[in-house]
Amino acid sequence: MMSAVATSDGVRPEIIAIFAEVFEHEAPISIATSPGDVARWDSLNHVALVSMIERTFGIGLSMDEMIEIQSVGDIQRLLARHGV
Amino acid sequence: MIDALIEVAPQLVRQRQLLPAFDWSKANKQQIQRLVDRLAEADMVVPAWLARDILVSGHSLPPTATSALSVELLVLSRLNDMHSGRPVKEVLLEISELVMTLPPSGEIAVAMVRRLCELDASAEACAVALAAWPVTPQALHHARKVFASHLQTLPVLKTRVAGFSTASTFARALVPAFAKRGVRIEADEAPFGSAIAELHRLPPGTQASLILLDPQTLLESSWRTGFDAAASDLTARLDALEQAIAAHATETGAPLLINTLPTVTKPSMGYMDSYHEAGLAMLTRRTNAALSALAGRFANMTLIDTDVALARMPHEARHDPRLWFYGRIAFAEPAVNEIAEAYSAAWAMRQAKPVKVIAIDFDNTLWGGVFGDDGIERLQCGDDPPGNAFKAFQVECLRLKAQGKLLIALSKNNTDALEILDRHVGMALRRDDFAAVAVNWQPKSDNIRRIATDLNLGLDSFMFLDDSPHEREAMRRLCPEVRVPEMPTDPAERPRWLRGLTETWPARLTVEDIERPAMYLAERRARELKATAASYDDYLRGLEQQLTIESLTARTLPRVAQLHERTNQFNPTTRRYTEADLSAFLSRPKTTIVLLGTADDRFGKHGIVIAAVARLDGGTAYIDSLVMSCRVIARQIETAFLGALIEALCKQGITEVVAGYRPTAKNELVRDLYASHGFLPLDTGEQDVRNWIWRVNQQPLPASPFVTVQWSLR
Repeated sequence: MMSAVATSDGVRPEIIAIFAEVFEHEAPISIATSPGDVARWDSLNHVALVSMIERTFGIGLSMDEMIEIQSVGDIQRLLARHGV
Repeated sequence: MIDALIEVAPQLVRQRQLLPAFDWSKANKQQIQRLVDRLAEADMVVPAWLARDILVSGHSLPPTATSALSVELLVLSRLNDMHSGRPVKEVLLEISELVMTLPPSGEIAVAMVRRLCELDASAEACAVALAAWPVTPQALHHARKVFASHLQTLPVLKTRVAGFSTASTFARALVPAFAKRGVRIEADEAPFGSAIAELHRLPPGTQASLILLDPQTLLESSWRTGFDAAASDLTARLDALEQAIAAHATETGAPLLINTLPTVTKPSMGYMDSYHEAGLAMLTRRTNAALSALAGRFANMTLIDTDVALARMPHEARHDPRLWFYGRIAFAEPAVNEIAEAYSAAWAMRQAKPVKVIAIDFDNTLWGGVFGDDGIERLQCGDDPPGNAFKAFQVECLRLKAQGKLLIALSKNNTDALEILDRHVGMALRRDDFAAVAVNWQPKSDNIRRIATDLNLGLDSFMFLDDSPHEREAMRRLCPEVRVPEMPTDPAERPRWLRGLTETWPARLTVEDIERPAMYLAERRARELKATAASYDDYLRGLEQQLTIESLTARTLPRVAQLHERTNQFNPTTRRYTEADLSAFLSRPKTTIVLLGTADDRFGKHGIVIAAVARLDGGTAYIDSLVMSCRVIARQIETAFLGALIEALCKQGITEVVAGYRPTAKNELVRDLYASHGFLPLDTGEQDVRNWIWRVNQQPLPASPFVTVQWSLR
């Protein structure tokens, strides 16, 4: 799964895997990737994305944080904040 | 580091230290072998928890180390051991058996699905992933590509899905839930919160409506006018919902699946919640009572109990307030999956051929112990442990009987074993509770076939309960139509298990269902009369049969629909009129006449056993359907009924009656029905139908000397 998206610079491999699973998105992603760049990143799949992040990293996000996620960079910043 | 751990493995295993946290994907094949050997040197086997960790990480275990493992771990080990190409047939068979009996879940299911995908065993990967769903939904993520193509092979069910809040997560969960039962659901999602509007206006071509109720929207109140608001807001919503459901049921006729509101876990009025009119618990109860009343009224409505669906789920996992405020999603993912699963199970039950007969073993099933070895005194059944579990099982059998199932005794024993039922004080079942008995040393498959013939019922309406895996296996092999569920080995588990067998759940109870066991007992006695009568005519005369004829009414509608649904043999046209079809006929009595007959004889009541739908066109009537229960075949009931039907048609000014016979695999019985009642062949040029005609004043009215006909005054 990871070899197909080797050009996703600076993006954590877990997030690449999550994007492949939740959005079936196999194309490269970057820190700047946002809902506009991913076909299936709608509000419903956003919920699936959040629950997958929570499950993968063993953290809990608040509703504010759910809304805050508007790009891959936002996700990485949140992960850093939660210390994972 | 790994090697050092392996050398001290016996101690670490005993103390459960370090090894449980170890990532075995970092070890190589030789190291795993060394671990097994090291434990063997210390006279230890690989414990299940360790085997599980090792197998889930992708390793296999040598055969010497797998003897004590569960089937799922064994299968995973063998899958991991394969290098390339499709797994051998034997393993695939084990997998399909596993899926049917003990579906794997958790990380084992995930590991199995991933491995099966790698080995290109798509069908099995799909089967395991679906069997693990909804307990382990991740398994399906790993099989999503093969699942997508698997879906394309399934028959489609077009449904409309609507809710009071977001129904999208529900619509999505329905896909695996229905795929599990071999259906590709097209869950066409209605606009947000449009359940009421949808019920009133169903898009054409929709085969079923699926509505999801949630407590958040339905019980919402502004509290602007105090207590009154909570109760009156709900009253208004319930009125609208009731009207919409009634409109849906009567106008579209399409099946409707809808859920109850779950029990309140966060009361709005503390301990007063359950009795104050504005308490959430009270409002929930009112809503569910209204839904129950509707479900009792409309046969095409199925009410799904949300509490039962969510019984295994902790309350925190049911509702996620973040999702509610973020997207008006009322049920969290695990909960919505379980609810979708319940909808799918309910749908499958509506479609399934109902189980009518339960064939039950004696020794170690109805009581503990073996009669032949232990004698009657030492058999366990009564009010004390362990016999009370067996008695509870018997009481569950009585419940099934009360719900219209026929009980059959099927035991390998001497005939005197039957006396146990009436002589042992602890038994809940009595001999007369059984509609038929086969207590002998013949193979059970032979006995069940003979009973099916005697009762005139197909083997596919039988279920067989036996504690012996050998008897179950033999039955499955020799009578594949009979349903043979796996039975728990612990008798204490069995009463609860029997209640949970969805195949025995009644889809709908008519008066006939409830009276059926008594009717079959009457028939058993009639058979005994037949055995002693000098001639068949004497037998028929001795029955003293009465047939009461009446027109279709709302009261008799469910049974007449049921006769159309279930009758295969005595059914010349196989037109299956549903309750909706029949209630449409009720509204146009000038063009369609529906008559039915209720039979009684010396031994008891048989209920509504025959019905016909006749369409009037000018001076001609067409018998579009004529269905009769196989319970009263060869008693001239049909002769008396045809006579009454034609007489009634003539009173409407009909001069000729046309009837057809359309051959099917099962209705050979009625091939000559019309010829034998004086009808003449009529060539209409149709290929697959043979038509017959009866003309007034030219043919005699069919009549039987053995059936007294009367018209109901109702």
